[in-house]
Amino acid sequence: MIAVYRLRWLPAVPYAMAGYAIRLALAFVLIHPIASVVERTLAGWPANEHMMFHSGSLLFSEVLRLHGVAFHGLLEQLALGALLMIPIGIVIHAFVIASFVDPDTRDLKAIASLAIARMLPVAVVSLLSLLAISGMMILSWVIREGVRSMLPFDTRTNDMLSLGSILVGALAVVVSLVMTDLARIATIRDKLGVAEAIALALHSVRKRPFEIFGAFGARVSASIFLAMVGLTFPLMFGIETSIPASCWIIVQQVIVVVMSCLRLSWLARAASFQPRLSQQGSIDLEIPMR
Amino acid sequence: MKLPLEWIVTALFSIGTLTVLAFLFRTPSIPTSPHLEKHHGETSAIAAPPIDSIPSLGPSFDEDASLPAHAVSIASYTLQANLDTRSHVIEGKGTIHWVNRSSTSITELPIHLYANAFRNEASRFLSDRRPGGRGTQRIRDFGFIDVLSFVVSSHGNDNLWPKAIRADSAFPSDDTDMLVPLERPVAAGESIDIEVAWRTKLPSIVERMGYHDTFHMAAQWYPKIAKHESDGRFAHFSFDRLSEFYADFGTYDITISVPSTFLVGATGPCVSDIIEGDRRIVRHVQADIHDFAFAAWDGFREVRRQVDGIDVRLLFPPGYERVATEQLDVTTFGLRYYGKRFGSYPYAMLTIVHPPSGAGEAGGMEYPTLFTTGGSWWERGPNGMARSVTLHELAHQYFQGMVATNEATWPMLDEGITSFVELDALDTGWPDAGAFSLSDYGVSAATMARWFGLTAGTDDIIAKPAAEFSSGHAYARLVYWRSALLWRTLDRVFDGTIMQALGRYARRYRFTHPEPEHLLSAVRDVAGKQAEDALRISLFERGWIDVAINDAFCGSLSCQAIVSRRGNLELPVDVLWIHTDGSRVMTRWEGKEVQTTLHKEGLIPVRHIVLDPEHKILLDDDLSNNAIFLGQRPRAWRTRSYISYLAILGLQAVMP
Repeated sequence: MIAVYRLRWLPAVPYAMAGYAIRLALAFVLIHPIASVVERTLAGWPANEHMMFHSGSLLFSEVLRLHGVAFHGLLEQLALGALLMIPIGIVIHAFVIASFVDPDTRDLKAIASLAIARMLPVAVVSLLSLLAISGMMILSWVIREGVRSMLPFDTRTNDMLSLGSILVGALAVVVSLVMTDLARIATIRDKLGVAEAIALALHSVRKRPFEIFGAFGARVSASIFLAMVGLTFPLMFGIETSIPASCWIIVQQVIVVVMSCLRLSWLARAASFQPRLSQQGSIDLEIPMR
Repeated sequence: MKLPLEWIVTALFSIGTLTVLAFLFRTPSIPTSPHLEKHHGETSAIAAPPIDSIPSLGPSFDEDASLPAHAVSIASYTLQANLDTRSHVIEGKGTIHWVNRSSTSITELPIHLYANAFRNEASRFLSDRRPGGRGTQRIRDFGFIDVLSFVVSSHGNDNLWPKAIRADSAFPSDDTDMLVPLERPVAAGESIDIEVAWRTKLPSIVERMGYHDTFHMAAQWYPKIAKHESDGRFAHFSFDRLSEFYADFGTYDITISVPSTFLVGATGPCVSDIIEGDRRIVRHVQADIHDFAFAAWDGFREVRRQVDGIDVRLLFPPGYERVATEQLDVTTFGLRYYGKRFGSYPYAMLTIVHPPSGAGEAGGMEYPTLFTTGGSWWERGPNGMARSVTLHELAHQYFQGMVATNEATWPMLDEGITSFVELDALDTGWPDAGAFSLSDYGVSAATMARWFGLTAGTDDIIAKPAAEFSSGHAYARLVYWRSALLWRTLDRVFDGTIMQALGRYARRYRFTHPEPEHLLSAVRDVAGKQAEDALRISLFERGWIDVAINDAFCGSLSCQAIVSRRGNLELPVDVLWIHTDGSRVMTRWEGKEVQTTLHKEGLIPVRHIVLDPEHKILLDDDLSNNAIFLGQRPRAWRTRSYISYLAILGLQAVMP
């Protein structure tokens, strides 16, 4: 059964890879102007783009200084690209979750039909999630400011309070993300409306909190660790080393693919936690042991 | 057993992430320069010569043996101050001993009452609407200084203060610059004793001085006689928001009374510290200084260290123990580093005050033998302001503390030079990571100076009074950052002779009040006429430079590069020719022509031509046009890889 559980997310891999391909293509298109500016600015120097990574950051800062205005626009373009990806992300999510309904199915038409049919509630759940996360951030800030105004004068305490409020806010965000994924699964697999899906997600979290957050935490912490490694391995080996750029690209893209698989693994695991609704609409609280 | 396993996995990966972060932000070690023996010459201080007859200084001033033992004493203060920490009021009284060392008699004394800058919104300081800079926040509680009595004891018992008038007619509502008519002239060479009593109400922290809760920073808290120049004139001015101070040397003997639970950090060594009832009474005495400040707080923690015979005392808020230790280490490094370059530190005591949060505006300020610093408790290494502010304010012990220039008229002589020597210390102590450090990657202090110094461009000249700058931003960018950048440029272009010139200048003019021409003559003395001209143009004529390769034509036997020098600065430029076989040849272009063609003969084809390959000319407006590659443009794959990775991670948030 363990082997079956581990492979449970495999049917969703093609959809996740499609999403990865879209992201990769979009990222390369979006960053091309920035890279082109760097190329042209440093082309004359013997070390060309390596100058960007020379310790001291003289040429790195020069590129930013000379082209700061352009980079500002390009960063806005990146942000706009991310916004445009939100609806595509919802579609991909729907396809991924739909593929979990019957892991043995290979019927692309059926999966697409289910995903498209449930797109609206998935979108609403996603939107509510964004709102909830924003609300929790604001609430965390308000509470911190309130407590701070009552505290005696002590810098370190104030800073620790800020750190504490950030951690509490992060925990609230984690809860919200878990709930969102569980609700998305319920909207597609059990064809529930938004309110029912959220209620079911809440029920699941209350029923098996340690298992659910353990499963989520293991995968998210692994993803964060991998993302950090991808960011820092050039620093660890010396950013000016002769390690070919292709190595950078391969390592970083492998990390992104593994992170995508971890995400699929979580969604599959989350689906297994979610009690299925019977034909009559009552909640089947029996969770199969694995 | 799946449940605990997944939590264990979570814990392990979280620890891994924290380990990576710890690796990235590991603190670079703090270097210490070799131990330097202190030795002072026995010569007395000599006044700065008139600027129209400045002689060559000579190499004798490169050695500490040339250092004067003492300053010429003009204004000495023996004062008693009683601080009421509830009303934030200082009741003061005492004697000012003043000597007329000019060749003319005087009939009136200008007195600076700087604390009156915070008396009301009509003061020159608080009515200043220029954007940027320090002191712009809204004041919560006004402050002031009222002189109660001003009696010249040898002239009689009359209180002269009622006859005092405002001295700066341009600011008729300002009480920071007052003129006291004397009952009879004070002849050249004559001295007077002034019995003075006053009351200073500290404002809520605005800039440099004030209180925050029970923390009190008493700076410019007493009536202060304006600087008396050798020609008999007084350098007095109403207190401008961007300006600082200027005063004569003397001996300060100050007794301060505070509540017994308070610690006091003050200028000079503490010669007595007694508890009388519920009051702590401390007495600080220091000669050869031109100002006195103190901080008092019942929250201070204290740490001390002996550095080559100097007693370094650091007062800091609770929770800042690690930062305090690091600041002591930086101070140790700085005392030796600056001492080696500008002459050993002559005082027995150095006090550092790290104000608590909320009182940050009291930080980052220099006083003789005392400076205030800043930074947060969590700062590590160069990532933050604790290190750079400490080195900056410590450098002020030399440039303004001992080389006591007029900060109001020539801020570039103290802030500009200090910014440069701070930059030099950071770049020497922490090469390539003086401003920021992430693993082995860093941002150098010179890079920071270039970023801010070039932002100001050539908007205005550097060498002018602080009050004449259009904004605090322009003042900071030009006087601090661009000054540091141009000094650094000249020092690199002229092979370190500029720092040597500064050393000669600092020794020669210790305990005196030099002007820009004295500095320029020191530069000419050591680095030559071309360096002096470049410095003069940079400071007084908005000097700038951009060297560029416009085009290159290379054949099988020779190569030509058309190069240009934009701007009004003429500096020699190194030219690097790199051949296809990797061999390199360095030539030199004197940089005098606006545009010229450089030639290179040789059998091996040239692949790269680079102007200023070692980035000596940090003032160069545009580094992207300094090099040319005679081949196909290389692709920036590392940049593409890194940025696309970041972009994909960002997009991952919205897509599985």
